[in-house]
Amino acid sequence: MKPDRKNRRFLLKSGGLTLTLPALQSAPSAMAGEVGKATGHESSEGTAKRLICVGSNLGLYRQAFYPKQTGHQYETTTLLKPLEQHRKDFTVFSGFDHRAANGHRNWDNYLCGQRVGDVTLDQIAAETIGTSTRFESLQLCAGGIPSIQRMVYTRGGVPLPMINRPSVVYRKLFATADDRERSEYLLKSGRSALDLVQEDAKQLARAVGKDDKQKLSEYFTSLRELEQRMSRQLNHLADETVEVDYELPAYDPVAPTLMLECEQIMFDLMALALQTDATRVATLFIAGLGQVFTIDGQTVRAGYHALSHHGNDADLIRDLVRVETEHMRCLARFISQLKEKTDADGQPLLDTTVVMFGTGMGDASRHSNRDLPTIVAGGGLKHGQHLAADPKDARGQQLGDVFVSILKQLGSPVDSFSETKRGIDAWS
Amino acid sequence: MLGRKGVFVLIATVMFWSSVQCWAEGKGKRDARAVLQEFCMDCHDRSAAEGDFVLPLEASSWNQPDAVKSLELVHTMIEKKIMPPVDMDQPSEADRRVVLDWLDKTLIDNSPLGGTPLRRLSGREYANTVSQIFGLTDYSLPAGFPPDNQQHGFDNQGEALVIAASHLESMADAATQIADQFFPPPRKTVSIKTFDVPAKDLVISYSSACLIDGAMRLASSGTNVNRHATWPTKFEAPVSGRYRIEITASSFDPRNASKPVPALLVEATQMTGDEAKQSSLRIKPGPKQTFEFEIGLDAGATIRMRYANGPFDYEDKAAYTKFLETLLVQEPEIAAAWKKLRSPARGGSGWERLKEVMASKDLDVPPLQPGSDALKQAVKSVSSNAVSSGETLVYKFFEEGPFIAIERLRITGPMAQYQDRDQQRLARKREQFVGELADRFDQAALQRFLAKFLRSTFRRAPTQAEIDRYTKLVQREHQKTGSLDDGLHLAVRTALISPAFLYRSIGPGQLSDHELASRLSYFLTSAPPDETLLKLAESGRLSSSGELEKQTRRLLKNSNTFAEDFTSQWLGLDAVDRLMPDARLIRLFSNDHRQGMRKEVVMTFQHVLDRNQSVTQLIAPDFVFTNEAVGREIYDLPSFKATAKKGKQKTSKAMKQVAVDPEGRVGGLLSMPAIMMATANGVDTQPVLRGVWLLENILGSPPPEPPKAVPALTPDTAGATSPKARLAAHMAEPSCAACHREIDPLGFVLENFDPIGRWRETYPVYTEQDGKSKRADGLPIDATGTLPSGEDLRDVTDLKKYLVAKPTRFAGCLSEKLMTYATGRSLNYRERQIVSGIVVAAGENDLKFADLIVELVDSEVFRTK
Repeated sequence: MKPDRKNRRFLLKSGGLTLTLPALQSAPSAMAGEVGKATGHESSEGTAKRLICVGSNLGLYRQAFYPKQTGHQYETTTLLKPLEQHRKDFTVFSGFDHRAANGHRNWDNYLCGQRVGDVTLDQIAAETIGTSTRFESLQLCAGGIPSIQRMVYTRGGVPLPMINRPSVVYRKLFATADDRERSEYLLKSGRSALDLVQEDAKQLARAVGKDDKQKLSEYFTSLRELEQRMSRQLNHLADETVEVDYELPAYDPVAPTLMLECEQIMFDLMALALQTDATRVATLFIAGLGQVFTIDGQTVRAGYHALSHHGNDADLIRDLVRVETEHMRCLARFISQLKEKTDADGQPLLDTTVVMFGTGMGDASRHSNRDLPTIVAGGGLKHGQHLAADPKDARGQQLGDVFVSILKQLGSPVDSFSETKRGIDAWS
Repeated sequence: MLGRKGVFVLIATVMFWSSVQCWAEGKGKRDARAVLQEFCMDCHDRSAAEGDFVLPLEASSWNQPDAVKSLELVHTMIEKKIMPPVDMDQPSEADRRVVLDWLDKTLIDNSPLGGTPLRRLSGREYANTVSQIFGLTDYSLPAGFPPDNQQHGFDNQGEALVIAASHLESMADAATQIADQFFPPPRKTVSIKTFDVPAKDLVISYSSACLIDGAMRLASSGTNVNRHATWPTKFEAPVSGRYRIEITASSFDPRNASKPVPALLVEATQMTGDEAKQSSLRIKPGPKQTFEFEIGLDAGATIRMRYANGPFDYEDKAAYTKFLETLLVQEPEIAAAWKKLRSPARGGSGWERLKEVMASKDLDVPPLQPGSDALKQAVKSVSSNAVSSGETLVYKFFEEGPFIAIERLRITGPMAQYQDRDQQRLARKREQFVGELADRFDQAALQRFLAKFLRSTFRRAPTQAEIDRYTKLVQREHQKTGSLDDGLHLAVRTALISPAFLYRSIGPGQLSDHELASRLSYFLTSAPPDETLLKLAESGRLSSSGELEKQTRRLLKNSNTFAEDFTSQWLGLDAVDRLMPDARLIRLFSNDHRQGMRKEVVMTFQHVLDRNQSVTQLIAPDFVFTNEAVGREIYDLPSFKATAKKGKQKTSKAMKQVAVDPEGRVGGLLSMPAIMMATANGVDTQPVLRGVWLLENILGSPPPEPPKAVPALTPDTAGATSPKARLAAHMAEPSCAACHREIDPLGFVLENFDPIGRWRETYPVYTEQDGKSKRADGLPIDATGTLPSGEDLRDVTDLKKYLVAKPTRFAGCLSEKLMTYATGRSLNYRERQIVSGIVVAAGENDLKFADLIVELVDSEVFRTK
């Protein structure tokens, strides 16, 4: 059933960078029959097949982000200005949140909904759209990996680790010959390890009582699944020769001062990952520590974290918005890339990719997780508007409703999120 | 599953049968099931199943695990008088007694001993086990290793320790990393390179540094590297090795050019190796100087630089205050400008603003005299937010000095010599691990190696079949790749994902000697059995009572892991690390506070255990262990006030034992700040949480799970309604009252402790003024309460008295927790009765802690799977 990939390489350029890569499959093979008919800009339900969620630790300064008017005719704002060229391709949400309890760990509510530890939006989506790619999902981080916040939780409540080194992501996606050889060796020899422990487990099964058979079957199941995962990776290693010409800097931009540079690269790597169909689900966490940035050659006069605790000081807010404008520039450039890059049908990736930029922090100055500024782009949804909700209205629209619509657009059978299931009317 | 018809027939049978019984026993004593039938079955038969609960009255089902669990719940509900609900007909006391007696007998007859499921090593146990097997003393789990689910507050419960593909995948990855340590993959040779680092490629983190005139200036000092150090942004050691460092720097001091000579401390960012990895450079004021030296760097590490004796450190409170006292006397215009701006913005913008105000002619600058109240006021207003003002004032020193200016760095390496040494070190490690295989390789030597390795990994001697399997695995891989090391690497990776390694509590009924060794060892050391235990298990001697006691005492003596791991989980102390208390409660909540709080619990526990004192010493001891931060700022102990007056600069981190009145409010679990903090949320106290905590962890009478539909009530202490009035709402609602009657009155007994464990007599009321919050006294605390058994309590000291007077109550609770932690299962009714019997017997012996543990270990409950 595999398309002939080995001989179908082509070269494309993106922002001065060249890469050779195999052709994309036009639709996930598992779903090709039902929902594989992307048709351009028309809103067509269930046609999206990729999801990117970006989360900013310190959020966005809402006064510089939210437009004053709702609907299509809103006047653009300082933070939305970098995105103006894509105005028709995104929706701005104000006043949406999860009605979750406030507290020190509650940034994580962003993708979990009301309860921290519940399965996150991206993982629900991955159950539908992530099954045929090499990686079900990718978790990335720009800046230092936080010790408290976690962005992604599995169904079992396990927080997934994030990668903050571009070189590690790059190796994972486009292994160099040396690395590939080692991974291949470990995967192949690892199979005999699995065969052997299966014997160990059978021996154990004879020693345990009836009650423990159940517990042991958990082990057998995991063993089988791990074996499948390993063969999947081995197959991809064996038959895909991805040669990407994207040039990473000689150093990993993990120093706090270089976070914005790292953010830019992570966005680029996500675009490449989608383009090469290495994965269809990725998240990016943007850290919020005390980094002092240099923007356009000028060093900001206080750390990012100090800026976020602005206490309404005009100078601090000005600098904070400068940093946040950089996030928006990264996002705008990413959206541009997804418009330029196309899938195997020649359709822009953006048409079938839902891109969300949001946060679990409504107001970093007060550590509040109410009223979370959010933006959603692409994915064949009807964009171009500013939609407002009242965060004080207990029965008002919630961020979970946005998620419900996103899941629907991705063809997920899950039709509720954190006890809400209404969806967004303006999108239907 | 029964069909609808079946259910009907069953109910009809039960009803008929019950009434026959009733009739048969005549007017005298009623049959328990008849009582249950009358008062319970209207709501809890199969058709109504109120609250999703069906009461199993059929004798045929009593030995089914589900039925036993249901009957236990019925016992709790009836004993605590939660059921029948108060607005329904109530059985007489005699009827209740009849039911309880019957339940007691039925439960004891039908509850089997034991039943711990196959138990996977928890993450904590996994790390300790790897560390012991491979002698990797500083081993810790790789980042991203899946955390474990908790049950009953413990991370080692068989049922909750599930395994999924992602667990197994993480374990396989971890195993590869471990195997790599002994059989590393071939390394690429790295050529020597030179990295030039201009000043602009150094990190500015928070306000640690400032780029002026092409050099990176440092002006503050302190140990927090994020706030006071700088390091190259674009250099990390490509491989472990020695690197040559060249630093060009200068310093400037406007006041005194000779002393102290500014010292630039240069150190490796990862300090794991055994080599000295730092260097202190004396940078004399004046022209640029270049320094050259070598430093050892691990792969991925870089060097960071700090101004070790800089002009000020705003994170040391005492030192910062002293610094400001001098500064503001010399430059009172700073104080005046600060006052005018109220609180300037944090960082460089704030400093610019201060300078503007200081330059304006109309600024009124009153002089500040040393020791004056005006000075104290000024210092206080600047230092009240030390981090914020420090990040602002540091810009003054960036501009005016003293500062160190780093011009550029050049890093060259790795030097070859170090690489060779590193190779040798790895070779030695491999040699130690493989033993005789290093010199001679034949089938017999390989079998001996595997027998030894699998014995330590599986915690028992491997079977011949197992040895053969692993031998074949190694040989095949050896043949395939031509490298024996590849085969051994694979054997390590395989054994570490084998169920024989991952699981314990194997085999039904009474534990084998090997399983007993594992249970005992993980219970008391969180690690696998040592050689002594393995040998005893192999010779079948461990299970004798005498030997088991001897080993229990030996492990108790040699380990402090037990005190640390058990108390942390039993009392839920992880919360102390997670919570950041509201800044209005305490301005600077430091690591010293956290450490002091947590260590106190462990040291108290260890103290009582080591001396084999009565467990009541945990409740009302005549001592506390504390450090200066907690002793002075939380406990407010007189002995620490004295040290403060002596004007000591640095607070001591050392833990001290301080005598207290055993009948007073300080001392013991019920007043420990760690516990008060863990049972609050860092902002306010919630009597309900503390009440539940007391019932669950001290009194051993946990309330049943709250119904799902009811939202939690959070008391609002700021308004006029007192928390007590708020919680009275619970009592008004009958379905709430059933449980809260027990919970709330107990919770209030601890209300004198604020969310960080400080004693208080009133609730605080906060008001905002000029963006700053002010605290005033609000309503007085009412800490009176009632015990479930009816005794009135005035405050926490009465509760302590009660627990000391009725010591088996607390000892019983503690013993159940110990057994849950040890066996990895929740005890059933019958097992709780057995444990209770042990506690009562130990009561004859003053409930000596170590003796009690010995008795518990020797019990059938501990010895059964």
